[in-house]
Amino acid sequence: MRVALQKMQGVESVDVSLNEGKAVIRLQPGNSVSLGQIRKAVTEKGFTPKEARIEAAGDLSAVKDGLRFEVTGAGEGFAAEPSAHKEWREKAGRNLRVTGIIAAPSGEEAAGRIQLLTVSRQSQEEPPKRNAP
Amino acid sequence: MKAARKLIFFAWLLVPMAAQAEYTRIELTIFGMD
Repeated sequence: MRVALQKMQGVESVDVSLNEGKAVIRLQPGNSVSLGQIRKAVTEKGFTPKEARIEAAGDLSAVKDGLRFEVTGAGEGFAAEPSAHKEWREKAGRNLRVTGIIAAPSGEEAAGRIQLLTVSRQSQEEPPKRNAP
Repeated sequence: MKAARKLIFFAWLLVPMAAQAEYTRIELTIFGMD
């Protein structure tokens, strides 16, 4: 499984702990790896992926029925747990750094929901700097 | 000329703001590893 994940384009490193039943995947800047692709690779190796704790950059937007976190580079989006709406609504915006827990997709809700843990603005140093023309 | 300079300046300002939206770390709990 580690080899299969490591082969994916955009994966920087993979650590698998048999004792803890966990795989930690670190990704390269500019990758387009999705959680769905990771889950699929794990499933194809005969294991069952459960919840995922993620760190990602993306957009948090207020939508009709709550909040939605989009990782546009990976083409994935998740509805935030309703309990988080009041707490995080004022932080909604683009280009945010988010940590959260995404439960294993159930049959009815393939896209899953995210339980937001932290939401912060990316630091000014992180975008590529350019010299003035 | 002045308008063109203004346009270039704002374009320069906006490019670094183009967000990179991506996962940086995924910690996946896996069943069936024992």
